Amino acid sequence: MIRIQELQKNFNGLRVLRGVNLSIEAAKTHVIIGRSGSGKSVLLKHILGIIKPDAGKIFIDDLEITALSEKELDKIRIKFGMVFQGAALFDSLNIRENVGFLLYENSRFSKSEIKEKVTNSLSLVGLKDIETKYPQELSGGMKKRVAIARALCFNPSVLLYDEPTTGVDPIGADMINSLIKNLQNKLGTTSVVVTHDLNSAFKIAHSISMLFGGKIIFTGTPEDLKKTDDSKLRQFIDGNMSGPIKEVDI
Amino acid sequence: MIAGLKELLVYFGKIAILFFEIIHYILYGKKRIRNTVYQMITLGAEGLPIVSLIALFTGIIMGFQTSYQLEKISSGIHIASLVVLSLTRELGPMLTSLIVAGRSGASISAEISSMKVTEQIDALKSLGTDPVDYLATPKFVALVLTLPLLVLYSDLVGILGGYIVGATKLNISFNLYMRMTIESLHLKDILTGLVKAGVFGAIIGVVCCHEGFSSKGGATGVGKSVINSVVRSFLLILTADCILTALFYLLIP
Repeated sequence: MIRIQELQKNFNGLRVLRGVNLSIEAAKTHVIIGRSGSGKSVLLKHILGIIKPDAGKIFIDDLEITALSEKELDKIRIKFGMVFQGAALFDSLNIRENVGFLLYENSRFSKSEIKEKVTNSLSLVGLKDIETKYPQELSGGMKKRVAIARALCFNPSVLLYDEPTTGVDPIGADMINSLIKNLQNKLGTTSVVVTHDLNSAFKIAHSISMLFGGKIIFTGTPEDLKKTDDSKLRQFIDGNMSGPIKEVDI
Repeated sequence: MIAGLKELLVYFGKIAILFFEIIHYILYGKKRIRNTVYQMITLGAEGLPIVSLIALFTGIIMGFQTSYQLEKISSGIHIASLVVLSLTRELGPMLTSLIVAGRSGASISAEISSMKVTEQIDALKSLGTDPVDYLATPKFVALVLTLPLLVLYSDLVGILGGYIVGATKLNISFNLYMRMTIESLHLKDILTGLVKAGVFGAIIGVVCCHEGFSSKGGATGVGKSVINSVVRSFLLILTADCILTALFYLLIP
């Protein structure tokens, strides 16, 4: 269970988050939608503790992570798996070293055990025989899947996805959607997905929130969102340029 | 003026924090021997060709300049002493450090700032690894260890450069040149040069890693970080050289 209370963040005077309140149920997939630049990724990085809030609190299973030191956060972070928007694979490491990074760094597993775990993680995302390749040798979609495998490798209890389908072709995007869904069913992890791809959101979400104006303006099921009469939500879902949300509003 | 001073103090504060974080990881962090050796090779050993060339030319130039002066007072034989003392006490550490700052320092800040803009630094944090521990510490250790070795090597090549001039212009034999070199050289001359090199290595390591970590924006940000890392390393190396030379002059006359 992730609980966010009155979260606020400014960047050089720009108020990105203006009091975000959100509860994310355990073992479900929660999707946060919103316009580009609305602060979705910033919110995700707050959950991971990479960005410190100006005000507000975040609780993970009743533990307030916003009050923790970097050292304490490092111990918490390994319970999270994060898939970054651009995959963020380490260029200087091969796929095996990338996927098994956490195991090589923080565990007492032998090299052969790590090798096996990496192969298992890769097979969970439908990849094999790429362990000795380097990230620059892979396509965008494969990189995203390797990033998911890296996030899975330490059996995280929470998986965070930042725009998992962005920059991937429609078929690749659908494969990633079904992968997120299957992994959630199979592993029962709590998944938080940030996206502006509504197709993807409707396919994978148990619940959806919309971030607008630095606040959560809607939380509900995908069906609730589809049926909504709220003019702002309607404009976003229908993809209309005209409506209450102006071009400059995020 | 006050704003500029404040900015300068904040900068030195950040550099000091990064330095102490690195020292903390050297003492208590995971020992990254393989990575450190790899950094020693890429940041240090791979710079040997350019260091050789510059040291050789410096030795030759020093040889010509000193022989020009010494021949006027019929003391051409002292070319060896002047070349070796200038090289070991000053030119060796200074020039080698500036080459390493330009070559390896730029590569450090480019690597780290590219990782920053492609979220690889955030990815490291998300995997419970401090980027200072994983990225900065091995590079810092590698520079502090390899720069003195590079300086020793450049001193030797520079002496060879001086000898080329001594042999061709002044007809000094190899044995005589080397005897004059060794006789005029004291251990403190070499040691002060090596201490300087270690300090300059630390400056390059901290400054360039800091520039990488504080990079903002995309490709432009990477470019700015590289420029800042080289310019600031040069300035701080020259400042430190001034202070250290005065200190050694006063403490070990």
